[in-house]
Amino acid sequence: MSLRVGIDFGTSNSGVAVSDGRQVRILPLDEKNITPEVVKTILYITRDDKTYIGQEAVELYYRHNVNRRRRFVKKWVGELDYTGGDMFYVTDLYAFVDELLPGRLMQFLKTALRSEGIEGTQVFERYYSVVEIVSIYLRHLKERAELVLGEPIGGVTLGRPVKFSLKPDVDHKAQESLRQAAHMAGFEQVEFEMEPVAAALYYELSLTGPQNVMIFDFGGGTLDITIMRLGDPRGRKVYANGGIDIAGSDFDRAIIRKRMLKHFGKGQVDHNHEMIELVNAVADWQTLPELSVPRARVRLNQAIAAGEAPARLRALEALIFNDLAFSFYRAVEESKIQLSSQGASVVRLEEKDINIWELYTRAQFENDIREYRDRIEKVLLQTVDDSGLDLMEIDAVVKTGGSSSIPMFSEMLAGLFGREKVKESSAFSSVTAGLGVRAAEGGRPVS
Amino acid sequence: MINQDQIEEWIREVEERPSSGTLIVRFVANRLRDLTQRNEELLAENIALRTNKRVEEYESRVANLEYQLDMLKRQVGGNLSGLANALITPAAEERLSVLAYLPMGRVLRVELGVNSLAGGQRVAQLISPVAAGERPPRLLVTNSQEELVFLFDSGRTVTMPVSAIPVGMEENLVWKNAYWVEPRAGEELATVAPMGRLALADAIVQASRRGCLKRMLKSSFENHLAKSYIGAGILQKPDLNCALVLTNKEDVMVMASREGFVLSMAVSRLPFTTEEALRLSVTDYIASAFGVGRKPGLLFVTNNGKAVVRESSWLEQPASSKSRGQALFSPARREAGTRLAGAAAVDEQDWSMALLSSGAICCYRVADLTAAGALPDLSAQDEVIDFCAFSLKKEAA
Repeated sequence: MSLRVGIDFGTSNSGVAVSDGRQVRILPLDEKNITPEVVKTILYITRDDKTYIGQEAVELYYRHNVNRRRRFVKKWVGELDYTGGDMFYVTDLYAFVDELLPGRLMQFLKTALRSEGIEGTQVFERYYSVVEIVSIYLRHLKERAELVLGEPIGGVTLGRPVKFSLKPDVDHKAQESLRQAAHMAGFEQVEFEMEPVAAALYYELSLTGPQNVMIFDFGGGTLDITIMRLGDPRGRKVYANGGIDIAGSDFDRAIIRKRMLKHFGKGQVDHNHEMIELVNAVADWQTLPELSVPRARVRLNQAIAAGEAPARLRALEALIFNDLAFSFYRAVEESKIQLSSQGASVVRLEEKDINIWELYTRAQFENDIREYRDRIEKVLLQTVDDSGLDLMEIDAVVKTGGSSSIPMFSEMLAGLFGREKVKESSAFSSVTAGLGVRAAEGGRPVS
Repeated sequence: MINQDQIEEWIREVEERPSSGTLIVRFVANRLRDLTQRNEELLAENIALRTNKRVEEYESRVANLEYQLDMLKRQVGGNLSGLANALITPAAEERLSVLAYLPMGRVLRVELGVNSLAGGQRVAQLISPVAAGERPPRLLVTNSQEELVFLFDSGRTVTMPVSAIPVGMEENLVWKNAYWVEPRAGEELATVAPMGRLALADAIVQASRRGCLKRMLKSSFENHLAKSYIGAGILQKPDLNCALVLTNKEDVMVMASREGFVLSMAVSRLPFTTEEALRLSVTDYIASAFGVGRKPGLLFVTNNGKAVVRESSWLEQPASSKSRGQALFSPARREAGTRLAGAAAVDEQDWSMALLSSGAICCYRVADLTAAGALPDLSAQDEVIDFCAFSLKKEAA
């Protein structure tokens, strides 16, 4: 029987674990990362078709792109057919393409699996489907894991959120796409386990008696809640599953929308529709790179020349045309993470014409994401209701995932269940470890 | 852009979690410090603007650029409008000039087409070699469009384009027919250096035969050059300059002595005043001084025609300012009369030129020399008097 591993393919971070049935081991696959067991779910494809993942991808992206030169050329991209009156017309379509672009950085690969309307993307001369992109990332993980383990890997237990999407057909399609990607990456046997269930399996290793446990898996892309009976000699039992597509990336967006846009002209250029459209796009990481076209630059320079918030719009121009968006989003995310352990942090970015210094407090953050808290509490209570258990019948609440460290949600859980019942599991590795346990149950244990 | 609402929010945070107070004060204080510092810089800038200091600086920079433009004009034949045509018409074959010069200011020049170069070829013949007891002639290979600086031992300079020196007959180079860059009474010509690439250099290093070095920043060198005096660059007579080298900040300056000692120092460490960098024996003097930029290797050629190759990484920079340098060959060979004729930083594609005691000036591929380990076809009576290397990609080295 071939070796089987567990892979947590997360929205922001991923990891690979193996278990021998007694002990579970998370593999150090990204030596450039501060925590080598965590691999950033980031893929970088260069013009010469080379692919990189994790911290290496990030570093290469910075080296290749930040403050680089650009050269736009008009390229034919297709034809548009349309009928007007009794005539049929065909028009050529052109786009401005930056021919010096050295590579494309891709984030939130998991989100793409469940996004309707995103089938793939053109990277230089080649079209990559979402499945292909995910398979490239998984293949890198597999190869690195094989290097660490010193033997080929045949099977995988992949984690999946309780709900990729609330729509059953989209949910099914996302899982099948992930399965296909895993097969393309070279895994012969592919099985799935729900991420919160995986986290529960890991938690179960520490139990001495039966418990009703709620897993609160709150990561970068989704919140998954599972209520289970664990440690019972008669077997495990899932009482209820619930979830909502709110997570870390939504909080980043909220911070940018409410606190950062003023640094790029919000409040000063609101009368100029074109400018405010550009400013609002800053909150959307997917849109921003698409704005780096000559037309946008001309409009920005016209507004700057007209004296409309010149310093702010110059900063916006620097953000869009110097590939600083990634640095900016990271600065915001880092500041958010710091707020989990301290009362205040500073979002700071000094590059080119950008000079951002924003003191951000936990109180401000909690105020900015309050609407999400209310929705999450509602889903949580609904899941408890679905389980048929009373709040008091739940013996432990296990938090996992990066966003579960946000104090506001810890307080919410403590308020509902009692502080002593809220347990903290390793934020980035408990799902991975649980998948390793599950893989060992389904495949050959590691010798 | 900090408004009252934000300040209220910070206060609310401190009210909710008093422990955040210290952190917020620290963040704000750090920011205040940064802004104060920035304010100081802006105030200083404001003063510089109001007192016209900044204007003077810009005027000086404009003058500097005009000087560089003038140099470029001379390189492209005096007319920049020719550049536009040069871009659309096929370029004429690049011409190289081989110059031999004597301390008395006599300069001979032959011109070669780049495409006609061949390894082992004799490119010129000096009919009247050097008289015994005189300092031997020195060799320089450069692009025919270059601008030359003639440096005399008094520190005086004369600049002129290469093309101003008449071309001699290759097979019949006679000193008495040579072009004369006339020294003043008691002066000797110390060295000749190409300066066309001055605009691309960060600093100019003056090296003397007794191992003294002096670094000059480009701007000050240009000012001195405009006044035709850059300083003698020596500590005491009868020492005199042997090289004027254009360098960049990250380069390493190398001096190789006649008796085979090599000293290397980062250009950034070189003194701005003349200082002795290499301690030489009484009979020894510097045969070659050059900058090592990105060239991967060093080529040393001895008087008996041996070619010694070292990687650039072989160079060890001494910790002390006065060193004896790294020995290139053994004491036994030194005793036997082996001396260094010349050295240069090279790569495999470079070419080299050697002046032999018979008066022949011969051209070699660096790759051939490194492969053979010696100058080919050198007769037993012949000695190498001077040696230099040059790159066709970037004209003369």
